[in-house]
Amino acid sequence: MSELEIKNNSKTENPGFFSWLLGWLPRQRGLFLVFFILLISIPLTITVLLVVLPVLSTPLLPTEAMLKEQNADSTRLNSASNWDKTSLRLVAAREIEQKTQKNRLSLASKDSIYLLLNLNDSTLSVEIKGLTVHVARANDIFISRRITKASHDALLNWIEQPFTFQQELSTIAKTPVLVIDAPKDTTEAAQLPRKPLEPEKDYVQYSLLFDRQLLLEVKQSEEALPEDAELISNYRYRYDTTISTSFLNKITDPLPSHRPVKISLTMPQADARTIFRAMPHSVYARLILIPPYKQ
Amino acid sequence: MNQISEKILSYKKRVWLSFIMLSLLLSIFAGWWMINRLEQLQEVATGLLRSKNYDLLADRLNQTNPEDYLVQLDKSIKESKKKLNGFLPNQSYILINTTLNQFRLFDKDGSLLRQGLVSTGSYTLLRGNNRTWMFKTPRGQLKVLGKTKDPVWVRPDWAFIEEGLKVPPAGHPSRYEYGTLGDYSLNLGDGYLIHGTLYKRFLGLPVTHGCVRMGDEDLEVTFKTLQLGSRVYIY
Repeated sequence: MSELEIKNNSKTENPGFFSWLLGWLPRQRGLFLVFFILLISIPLTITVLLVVLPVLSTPLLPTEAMLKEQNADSTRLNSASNWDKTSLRLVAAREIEQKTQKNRLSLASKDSIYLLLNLNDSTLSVEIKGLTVHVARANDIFISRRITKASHDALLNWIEQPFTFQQELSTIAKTPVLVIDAPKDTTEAAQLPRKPLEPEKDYVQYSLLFDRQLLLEVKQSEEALPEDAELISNYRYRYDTTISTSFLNKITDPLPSHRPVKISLTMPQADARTIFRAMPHSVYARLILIPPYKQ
Repeated sequence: MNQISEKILSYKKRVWLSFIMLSLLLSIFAGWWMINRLEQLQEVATGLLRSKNYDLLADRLNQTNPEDYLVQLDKSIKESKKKLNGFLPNQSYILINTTLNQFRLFDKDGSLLRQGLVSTGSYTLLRGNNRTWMFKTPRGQLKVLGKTKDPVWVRPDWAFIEEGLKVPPAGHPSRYEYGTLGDYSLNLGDGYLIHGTLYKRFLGLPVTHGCVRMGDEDLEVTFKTLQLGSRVYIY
């Protein structure tokens, strides 16, 4: 037997502590049972109380609760008898298209720059008076299941009107303004501060909170540079303190009705920056959402 | 013998106690991890436990004539699209991206004719004694209000204040500069122009006082393509 074979054999004969534990523990039935029950007790409680029950009982979209109230008294008809699911989806898609065109028309008739977020082809566009002036295609997209699983009517009511901008968090300034005081003479004028003559490179990540709890998160697909670390950590801190809920709140109110309905997009930096700078950052900023309807 | 059995018993007790403590610690750790990722877990649960339903839609459809309803929907979509098309440009137009300092020129059918670099407003705020000027390019839909060949730049007050010079009276010869604006200019209103530049190395950067600067060839094509009333979309 060679030295190498002896070494290999000794490895198989001396299993590690965890392998030994995994073999030994099931043989101690009482101990194993207690260990297992205690181990799953807290995760199971959390799963039931903070995950399953809230998800089953809380309306997915703010409009769902309203619809439930409206339809509480009306008796349900034998609904799907004349309509199979495919036909219903077809009509649902048309209804969504109708709302979208109606919203585009209403915003185009006003003098506004607005965003159009199409979740069917993962694009975020800037439109001015009905003309698409910039289209950004997301490399990666996350759509909350609260949108994809919401009932069609709740979704339709939710997107009925364009969303209105309310709050933002960002790693970049909306308008990077440089303030200079008028120089007294030509010598002072020559010494005035100037903006750096190179394109901006700061890491782009922002969250736009609209009414009806829509939260749009956009970040650049390019990797962050080491010098952006502080910028990003600052952004995350502000995000955690303004948008996220605290540990204690998660326990006391696991699925609050005001929790944002999140959509996250990752796109090239140039597109992310263009869209952030293009949209008006006031109550006049609007977004039209086209939820997924293509099957 | 008794001592030995007591030792074994206490050994067993210690093993049990250790495992109970270990399992509790692991359980608490798992719970902490789960609460920190509660949103993700709820997302997964939503995907598993909730399903999209069309019940209310089916109810609505059962109360109407389905064919009529579909025709009505299509008609409404077509009408909206037709009205929306009325807002679109019916002649050549230009898009100017002030973030990337780029332009795209289109003909009336919407085909891209040319694209390239421009310089737009620098977002500098100049504070004078009693006045302030913000050097930014206006956004939105503008129109070409005038076209000039060999334009002359009439220097506004800020051009003197910025350089630390005394502001001359209106019409003073020092206000007129020839050749600064290039061979052509397109007037967008409120003093804003699309014009040429002597500082071609700054194309692609936000350095202007609000006007849109273009390279010589780009400017010539733009000047010849855009008509009076052509739309200029700045975003």
